Amino acid sequence: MNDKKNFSVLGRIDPEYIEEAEAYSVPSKKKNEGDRVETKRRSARRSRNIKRAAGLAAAAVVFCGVCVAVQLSGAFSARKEAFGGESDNAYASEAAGTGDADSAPSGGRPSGDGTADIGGGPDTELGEGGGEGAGDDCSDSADSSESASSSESSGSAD
Amino acid sequence: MTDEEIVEMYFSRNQTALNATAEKYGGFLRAVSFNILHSASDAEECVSDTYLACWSTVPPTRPRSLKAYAGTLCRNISFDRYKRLHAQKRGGGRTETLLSEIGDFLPVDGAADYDEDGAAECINAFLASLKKAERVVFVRRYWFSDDVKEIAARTGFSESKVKSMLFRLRKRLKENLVREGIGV
Repeated sequence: MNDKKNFSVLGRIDPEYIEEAEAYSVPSKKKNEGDRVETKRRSARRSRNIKRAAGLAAAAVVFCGVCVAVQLSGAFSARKEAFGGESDNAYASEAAGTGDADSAPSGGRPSGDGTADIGGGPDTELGEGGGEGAGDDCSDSADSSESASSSESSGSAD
Repeated sequence: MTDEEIVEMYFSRNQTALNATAEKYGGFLRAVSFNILHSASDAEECVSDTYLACWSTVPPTRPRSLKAYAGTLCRNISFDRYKRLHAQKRGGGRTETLLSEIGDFLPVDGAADYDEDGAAECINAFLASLKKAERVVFVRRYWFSDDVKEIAARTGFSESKVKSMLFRLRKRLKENLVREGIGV
């Protein structure tokens, strides 16, 4: 059986090495030192990761701030241009000596008859046909009957 | 009591030599035997057989190191017992794993016979070329039959490191043996 032979061959290792292997033992202090070094290395890695994350977060915040600032400045300049263009027109017309009511400064719509129509809504005629229309629409309702009776009564009174 | 004094007692056929050996190396021999047999009672019997073997072989042999000599005897006796106990059921145990590892670099069952002296010489030369830590790991595994876990605890290396060290050492030793004509 070669198992036996192999085993006995290994049994013929120099006694010096056997003594050495028997005596060899890493002192527990060294093991503890190793553990300590490992712990220190781990905590250093953790703090490095935290710093890196903080740096990334700060960079992200700065980037967002810059983006917002760019957008705000863009919007501000656009509005400034819009306001500035109209006032420039007004100043230009004033400078040309045509400062009548037709040239309203802003917010109004110049009308054809020389008045400024500030309301801006469609032109409606109230008062002429409105009452009749309303009465016709509500002829079946109780209100209309009441109004009819009141007009009758008022008629009788007349 | 020193090894020389004990050996002298063996030579003078003084039976106190057996007690002195038991007192000095009893624990060591029990550990060696237990690593192979994994049974305290079997290990105890093997240790007793070892004392008897020492008594019958010293003299004429004069060991350089009584510890290593008695340990080698104990190791061989324990292995014989192991083979007898496990003649029918093989595989699965720690010793079987150890034997299969040894089979990585030395011829396995059924392979051609080889020169035992040459192999022992080659192994010793190989061990001499190693760093101390590597040598300790190798000897603890293949002479003391220590478990990887025990070696890791003793040397301060991780278990995976010990395993990879053993793997590399087996590979290198196999290359050396093949070069010397003691191939697998």
